[in-house]
Amino acid sequence: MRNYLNEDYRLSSWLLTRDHKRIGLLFMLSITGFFVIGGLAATIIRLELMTPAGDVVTADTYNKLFTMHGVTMVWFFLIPSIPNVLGNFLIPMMIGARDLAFPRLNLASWYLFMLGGFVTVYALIRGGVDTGWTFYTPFSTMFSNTHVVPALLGVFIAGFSSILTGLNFIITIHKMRAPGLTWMRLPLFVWTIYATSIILVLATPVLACTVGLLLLERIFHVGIFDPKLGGDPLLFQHLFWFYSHPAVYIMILPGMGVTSELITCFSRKPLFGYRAVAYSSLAIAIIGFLVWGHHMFVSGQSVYAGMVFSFLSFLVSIPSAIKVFNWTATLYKGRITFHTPMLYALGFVGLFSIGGLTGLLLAALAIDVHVHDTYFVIAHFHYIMVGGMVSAYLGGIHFWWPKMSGRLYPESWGRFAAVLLFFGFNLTFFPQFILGYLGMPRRYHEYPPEFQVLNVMSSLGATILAAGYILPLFYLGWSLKYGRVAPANPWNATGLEWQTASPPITHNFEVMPEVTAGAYAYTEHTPLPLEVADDPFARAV
Amino acid sequence: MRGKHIIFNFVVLLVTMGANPAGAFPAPLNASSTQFKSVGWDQKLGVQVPRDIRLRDEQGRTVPLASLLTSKPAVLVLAYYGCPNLCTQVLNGVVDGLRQLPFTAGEAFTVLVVSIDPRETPQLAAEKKKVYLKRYARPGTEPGWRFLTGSASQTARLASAIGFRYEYDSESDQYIHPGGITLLTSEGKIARYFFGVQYRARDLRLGLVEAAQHRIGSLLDEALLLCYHYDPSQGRYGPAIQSVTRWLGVATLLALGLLFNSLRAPRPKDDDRLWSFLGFPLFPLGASTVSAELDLIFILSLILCLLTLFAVFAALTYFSVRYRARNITDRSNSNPNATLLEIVWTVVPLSVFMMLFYWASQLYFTMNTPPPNALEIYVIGKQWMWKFQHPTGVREINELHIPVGRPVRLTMTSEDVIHSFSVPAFRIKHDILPGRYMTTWFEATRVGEYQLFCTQYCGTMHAAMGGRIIAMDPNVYAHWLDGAGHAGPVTSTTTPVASQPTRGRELFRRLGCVACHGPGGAGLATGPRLQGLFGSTVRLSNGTTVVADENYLRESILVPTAKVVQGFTPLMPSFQGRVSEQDLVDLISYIKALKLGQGG
Repeated sequence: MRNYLNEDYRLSSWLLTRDHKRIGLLFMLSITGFFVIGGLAATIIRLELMTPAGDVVTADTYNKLFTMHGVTMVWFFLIPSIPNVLGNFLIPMMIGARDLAFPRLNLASWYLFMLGGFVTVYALIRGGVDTGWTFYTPFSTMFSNTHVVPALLGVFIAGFSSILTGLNFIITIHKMRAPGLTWMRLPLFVWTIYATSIILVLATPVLACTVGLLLLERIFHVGIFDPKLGGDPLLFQHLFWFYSHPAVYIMILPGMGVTSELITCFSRKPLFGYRAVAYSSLAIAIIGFLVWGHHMFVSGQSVYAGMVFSFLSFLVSIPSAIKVFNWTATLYKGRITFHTPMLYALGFVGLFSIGGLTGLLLAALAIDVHVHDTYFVIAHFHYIMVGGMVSAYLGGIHFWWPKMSGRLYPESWGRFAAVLLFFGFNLTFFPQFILGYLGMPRRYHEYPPEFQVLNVMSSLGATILAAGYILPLFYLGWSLKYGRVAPANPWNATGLEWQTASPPITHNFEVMPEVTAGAYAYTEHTPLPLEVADDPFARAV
Repeated sequence: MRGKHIIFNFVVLLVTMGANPAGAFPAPLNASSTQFKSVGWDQKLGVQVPRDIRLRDEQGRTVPLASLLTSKPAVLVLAYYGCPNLCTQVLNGVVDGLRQLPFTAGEAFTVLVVSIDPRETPQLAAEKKKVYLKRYARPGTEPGWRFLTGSASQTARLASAIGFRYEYDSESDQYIHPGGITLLTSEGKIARYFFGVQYRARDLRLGLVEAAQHRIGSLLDEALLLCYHYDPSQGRYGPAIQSVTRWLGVATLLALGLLFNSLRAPRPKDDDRLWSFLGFPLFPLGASTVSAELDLIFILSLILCLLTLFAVFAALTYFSVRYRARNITDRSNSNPNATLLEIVWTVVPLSVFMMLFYWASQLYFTMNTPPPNALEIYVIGKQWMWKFQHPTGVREINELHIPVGRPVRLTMTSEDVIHSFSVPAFRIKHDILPGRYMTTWFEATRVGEYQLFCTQYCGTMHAAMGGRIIAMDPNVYAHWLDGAGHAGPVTSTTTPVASQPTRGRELFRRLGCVACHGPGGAGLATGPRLQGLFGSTVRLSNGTTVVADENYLRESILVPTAKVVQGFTPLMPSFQGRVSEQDLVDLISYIKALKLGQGG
């Protein structure tokens, strides 16, 4: 049977494709590459931190490594992860369309991303940059002797990829929904991608301006941020976080969308409080623009500004809390099965809850003074970004793998990797909360000896975590050739993407679907997801 | 010996706290009079009531108990219809309690009222039924709310099966009996007892949900049941939190005991900074006036977070186990109305966390408001070292000696990039920016050495930009300052030099400030008076006013045109690039020390 994968095998058919599904896969391959680079940097960092002394790499190299880790993970893995891979692959199918509104723009977005990625990663690897991913001025403009300009140029270029993708999604979701697919019938994944796209379109230009100003000062010594030139270093922080805080939501909202899909599917229930969850995504997108000052509680901004930002940061936690409670309540009286995607989804809820609640501790002004710029902050945002977003990303990849590849992955291996990741993650990052409250500063190449025990625990956890990441690469790759052929709808899920063949044809649907019910129309008669017969764990539950 | 004593007491305390004082259930509400010793309740939770007990219904037909129970839980009331007082109150209490429930008798559960007086007739029972159903006032209850009578032997069997002990008093021709009701499961097992004559709606509601094995009730009831557990000794639902807090209390005592123990044991030097457990450092010990309050806010918030997490994790686990696909369980009414629940779980945590916001903000204000008459220390950060200067002019590098028990105000600036002054033991941290002064303060409470970190990434040797804060007894500090100032270095990094104002006066002359501002800063026509300037309000040429603080003085030296004093023309040249941060500190100290009418 013809499908989007076997239609044409030539390389040019991939490099010039306008098929949203193929572009999604192109993004998947590229960000996997960037993830490996960022992950290798993290590996050396954790290795260095096994001992208090700086004995594996020099201080300079260490600084370049954490910059490499941050820059690649944030801009070249997390931000494009779910939106550009799963979003690209799924949005048209979920809304019953043949493709995105602007297929060529979509391909341009991938080329821009790759161009930006190559420029930045080349700078990071060949010369290195030692500013940290935050590029604080005046260090980045007047003091650092490393390759700040090309690294930022790459980020600048990749930003346009974000903007184009965001625009494409917004227009597609507005204009191309199937007949009968009203806003309140949309799958929540579409809602979160919509909210994310709004942030991408509104916040990324601010990053572009900020990077532009930074480059002006660095190259032409125009006084913008350095007080010696008459500039203001805090201005940079305001501009940077005005983008980067909303960017945090770019990095978590799509994960929430995936989780909503997985939890409803594997508990055979409609989502509890659909409307509240849908609107909470928009609330996060909007309030998320008003809390940037909570990164600056000890920077010398006015205490009154600090209070306002603290208050708003408490408020922005409400929509997230609503989501967590609604996911939990969705399980109530469901018919729950624990397939790999569900394990990731449950892991997401738990780890995201921990990350979110420690976010409240950081939003409390006095506590932040003590833990600001310590490992407490590192632990907090890794719980959100890695515990949350990466779990959701992997959960989503497993869930839609049969649709993407037409093959089933080995279920027991999937479950094993999901559980391994969960434990490895907690062992890596939980000790960092304690380290943070003890006062260990972030970005330290050497540290006082009393912090060693906890750092060793963290490094051990990182090894387990790494194994958890490498496993799926193998068994998913294996399944491409040896996996069982997937039926159209192995999970017996609702959702339009499951109404078409696995893998789908290039234009997604043989007959354009018409929608008559809301998302997640699971009833007590919906059959359970496919059980994999050779799976002992499946029988146990 | 004393140590053993403490441990013994501690163990006794633990045992008494942890043990449940209600291990054996006393029968409450026994008739107190000695005459009726045999009147009261024997609790028989979980016991099966014989289903073959035969009773008479309102029409006089004989019916077995089994047919009355159908498939619903039942509220069982033993009374007699001619009862002059207690029974009426019990029945009124039942009706009033049940009226507040969302479920209706006859639909979700049955009510069985059985007379213990064998002389009473079905006619009397039917009359009573009319009265109480009118009071209950819900349609459709008729078949599900039975008023029954029975022979002496059958009612006695029923009474003894549920542990209801009563006696006939021939003198008054009355039955002496206890107050209270029993809930039965649909199979006829005793599920719950509620004593007295008034039954709280919450008790009845949760009791019925549990007696029905969760076949009735909503998500809200399930949530309530997580928080409230039936307490057999009281015959009511009490917060489960009591037992949680009891064990939390035990855990706290245990932790305190271990803390106490670890404090007594001989230990390496690090331990007066960190509290460790089994070799894992877990908590930093505080040493400033704000550290205790900050820790308290942190720990209370942490408990709040843990409670929230516990609620989410408990629900996730419970639902995952109970509603796993292969478990056959009741799944009717699986999509309850969400609005109320959504509001509750939004508003309640938010209002609790708002208290945290308020408290933490208040402490933040305190931490950012240096008290008056604090000891003034100047701090200059540069890649990658700390320079400190005492009011007397004593300078130090990467080490700061300060007295315990006196607030220390830091006026800080950077020569290059942004740094951050962080002393975890004092729970303070503040960024240091180039081009302006930042202030923060602390007051040490314990003598000792504390780590100083730079926590804002500042380049290659960022991790090495540390130092020590040495908190000393005030007398020792005075002595140290004396020695450092005059008698040569006390520590290797201390530079004995002339005092700040002296150096400032020298600079004031050398840079030519005297020419315009007059000898001793007394002021001339070309430059405003500097004596008494610090802290005063200055009127500017654009009509606004400004308070003359360190940042104002700094700016006026470096960018004199930024704020021109009213009545003066901006003649002053900029000293940007001509004075170092150190010079600025000295000049500003000199200007601060200038008093009105002082000579040069």
